[in-house]
Amino acid sequence: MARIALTDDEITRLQGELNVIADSINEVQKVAGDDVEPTANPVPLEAYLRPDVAETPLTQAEALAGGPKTEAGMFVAPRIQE
Amino acid sequence: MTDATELVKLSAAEMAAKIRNKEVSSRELTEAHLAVIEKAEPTIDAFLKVAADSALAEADAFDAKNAKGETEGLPELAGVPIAIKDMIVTKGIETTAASKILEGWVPPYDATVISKIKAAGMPILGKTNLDEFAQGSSTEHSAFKTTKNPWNTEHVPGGSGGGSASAVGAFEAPIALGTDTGGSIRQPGAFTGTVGVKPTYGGVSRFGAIAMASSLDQIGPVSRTVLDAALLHEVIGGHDKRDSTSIPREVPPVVAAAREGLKMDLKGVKVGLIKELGGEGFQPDVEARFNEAVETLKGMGAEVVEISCPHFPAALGAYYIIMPSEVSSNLARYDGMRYGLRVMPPADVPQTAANMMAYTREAGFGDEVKRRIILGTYALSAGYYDAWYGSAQKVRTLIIEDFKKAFEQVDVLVSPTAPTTAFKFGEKTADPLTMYLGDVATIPANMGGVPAMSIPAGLSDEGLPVGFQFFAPQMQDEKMYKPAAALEAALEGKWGGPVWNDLKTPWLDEA
Amino acid sequence: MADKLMKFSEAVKKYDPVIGLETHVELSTNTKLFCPAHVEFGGEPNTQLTPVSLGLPGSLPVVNKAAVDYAIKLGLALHCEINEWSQFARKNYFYPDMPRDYQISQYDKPTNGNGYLDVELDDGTIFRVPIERAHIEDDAGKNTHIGGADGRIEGADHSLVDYNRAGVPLIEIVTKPIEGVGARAAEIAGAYMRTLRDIVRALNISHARMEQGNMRADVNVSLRPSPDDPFGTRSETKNVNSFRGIEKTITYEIRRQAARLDEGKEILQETRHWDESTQTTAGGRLKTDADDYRYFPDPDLVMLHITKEHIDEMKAQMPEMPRERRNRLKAEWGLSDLQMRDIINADALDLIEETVKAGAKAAGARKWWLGEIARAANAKEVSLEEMPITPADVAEVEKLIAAGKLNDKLAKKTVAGVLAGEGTPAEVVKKHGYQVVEDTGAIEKAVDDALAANPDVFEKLKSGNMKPMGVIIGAVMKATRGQADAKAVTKIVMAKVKG
Repeated sequence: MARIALTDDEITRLQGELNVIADSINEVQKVAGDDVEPTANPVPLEAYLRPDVAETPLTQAEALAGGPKTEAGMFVAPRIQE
Repeated sequence: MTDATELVKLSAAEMAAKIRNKEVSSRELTEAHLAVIEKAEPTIDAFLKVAADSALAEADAFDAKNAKGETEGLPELAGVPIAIKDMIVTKGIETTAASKILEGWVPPYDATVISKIKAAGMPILGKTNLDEFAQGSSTEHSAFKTTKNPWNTEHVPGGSGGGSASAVGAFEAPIALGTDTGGSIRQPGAFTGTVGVKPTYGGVSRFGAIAMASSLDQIGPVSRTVLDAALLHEVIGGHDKRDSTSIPREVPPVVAAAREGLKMDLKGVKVGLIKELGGEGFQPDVEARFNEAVETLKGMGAEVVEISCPHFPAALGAYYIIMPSEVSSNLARYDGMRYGLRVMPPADVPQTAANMMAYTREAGFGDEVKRRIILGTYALSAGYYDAWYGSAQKVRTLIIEDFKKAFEQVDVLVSPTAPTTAFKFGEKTADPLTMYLGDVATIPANMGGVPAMSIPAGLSDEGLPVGFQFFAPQMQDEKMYKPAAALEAALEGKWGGPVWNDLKTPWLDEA
Repeated sequence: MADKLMKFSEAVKKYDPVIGLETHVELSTNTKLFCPAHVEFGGEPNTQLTPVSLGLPGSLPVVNKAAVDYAIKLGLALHCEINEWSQFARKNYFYPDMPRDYQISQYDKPTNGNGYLDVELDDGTIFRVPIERAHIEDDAGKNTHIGGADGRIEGADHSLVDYNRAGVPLIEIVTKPIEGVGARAAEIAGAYMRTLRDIVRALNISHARMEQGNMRADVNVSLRPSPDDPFGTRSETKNVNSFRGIEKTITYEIRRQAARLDEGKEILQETRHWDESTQTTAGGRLKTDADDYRYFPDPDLVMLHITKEHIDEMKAQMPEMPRERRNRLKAEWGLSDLQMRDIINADALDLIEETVKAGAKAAGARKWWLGEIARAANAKEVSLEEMPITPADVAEVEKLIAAGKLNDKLAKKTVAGVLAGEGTPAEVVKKHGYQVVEDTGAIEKAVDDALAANPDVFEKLKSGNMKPMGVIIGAVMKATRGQADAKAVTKIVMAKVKG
């Protein structure tokens, strides 16, 4: 799901570390009672809504400049199906 | 010492005054710093990229304006050069977040803070080193180089913003920008004897700050004095319509507060000592410097009380759920399609887009980043969401409430910035959890969205800097600047000068 | 391997179908949902991007007010509860056309929840479709597959990605399970989709052209032995982009699933797709852990606050809804229920209204769109809208008739010419030299010839038996190559008969 091709060594090492972290996470579950509301943003704001007015876009050259592989003004993806 | 070395030892405010009085030009200041950078970098390794040509061009442009008297309305720091953590996007200057996955990426746009700095005529000296994608507390996780602590080059400068802190600490730059997600500005500040400020969440636009954990990230100033930090805070702060989490208000009056603090009168100021941030796990000499500073605050008339923030002990665990969860999503975009590295799978593996992404990310990310992505991916997955992410968001609520209750009783809260002084290279990389524990005192401010800053509180027995941390209520950043400036002035009085008088700077002597 | 199918009538006798529709409507805002890049269909690739829609590091989303307003209007039209607080959430999955590798959508706090849509069926009955939610989200880019057959993803060597569409605002309208549909499942789905399309157009929030992908639906179908049983396992047929396709998908899935259940096989929870060429649905992908989208509130966006005042403001801007409009037009045009339903079923309401606005009479407009043009469209299996003739063209033909410049026969030829791509009605008329013969001398001569050639008919007419008049008119038309006006011919013949 994370889309990282981990090696076996890395997987073993990560598992050990994840267990250690899991312990401190138990602390979290202890204090997080049902009566507590979750907070997503630390500062309570309501959304600013942008007017529907266009601004100058990137040029095609600027958009493609960082692309590892491009063709015909587009980004190249290796074949999508297996 | 040459004129140039004397020049770079000035505070940014003093440099700015000299520019206004036409005693020195922006170009002279910029050249002086570039000269120090050249001498210091072999030892310090604070910079990933030095932008000498564009910095000098920006300095010349400012000087030309200044000569014509067209600097009306510019911030006080106009013309003073600055270093930028390589987590912040700069148009035309390679921006990598110290990751191989972004190596060579030249952004086509400027972060909002960079636009403001450019508009202020402040030359950008270069991009400073950091832990890859700001993930780490020692700058050892940079994919490119290891930045040294100017106080002792066998010790880390802290992290993730070790590059900006060391650059300012070593006089390579008068001021710098950092980003702070769990202490990445303040902890390196503590480790290098510099000032580091994390403003209120939303007080400085995040547009153009490469995202680590969006609900915790905040850009802030790095400097050698509290007033310099305040001056820079006013340059970069304020509402930005390109960042939905930006607070629609004016920058708090931090410069006035800092200047007020320099009068060293804290009568009527109530200071709360956070009971939960001290004691076990805190180095004795760190506690000693902290207590001396508290006494100094009292000596200026401050009333000091102990305050309990009962949910702070759960902050670290909650942080290590929220942060990697957001990291796992924010770093998904580095997939080899639009920018940065692309690695095709080996020949015996199907040459598909999905495999390309997996091999690119395996090759492009370092261990610490991968560790956090994997952890975050688990924390958000269907079977775990409520128990992990949901619970952590509740802890955030509790921490915000802790701060609210505390600030009903006091004006500012204080604690040591970090439990220890700068540790040696390699000392903690083998055990991520002890590394994580070092962030115990800085994380609550990010979880609660409140402003916090670290200032030097003197040196440890080993001669390494100790940090003293102030917290203020959300959107009232000015409240910490006054006592911080006062404490800085009082301690300097006690020490007979700033803490860096004790810093040996062989690179300056050669400059 | 071809699916086994049960006869439809048998399938709906043995099983109770439950359907569900998830419809994506692409909004016609000027700029994208989260950034000020202008949106235009068919621009040069990767020219409608800002750092935000390209997913560049450091970029941040900011919500477009127009998209929110459009969503509120649609929510009002669908009788939804409009939530005072709604929230954007990230839907995490990797795909080359996703600039951030997550979609920004809404999850547990959508802008619109809990509504309904009443749809009118062929026989005039009203069926209420329950709506679960209508939420806002952004679209992905577009892949062009290279190296495979017919540009298909299967067997392609690589794909080219254009991110212009990435970030275009969508509203996804999700129905609750629609129960009690029985044998009318497909009809109800079709009526729902058309009604939704009409509403979206009336609100002017989307071009709603299915063939351009402005509107597409995921079709869920499940069967259960009786309405008292729990829901069966459903199949989800993705991205069906025509009304007929949706109707056929439902019929096909009911038949396929019934046959499987009859054989004691289970229904797989899978995504399928409708194949227009084979008129079947084909199995896609089984649901796996890759479908765990790890939704969480987008920390780059804050809560969306929609005040009662704002909703009232939107209410005041609501245009006439399609059903009210139909009733009004029915009265204005003097049509019966049945005639109106024919127009609706043919998807001709907008076209006829525009033709009337362009100066034609309602009866004439209706005759063309439901007659000649509908026949041609049926033969080509395309919608009326896609036919190469505009309401203005039809109105022009009607005007030529009214002015006596074309008769019925020539008008049909003219319309045929327009449909054949020969140009506007005026151009077709000019090209073929169509005109009603007004030269009475020529017509008189033709009449004389016809009467002379048919003396028996002439006698009958004289004796007051008008029945064989057609023979004379036919002969005159033939002689004038159809360009005589039948009324004028009749008049001359009558004069001769009486004279």
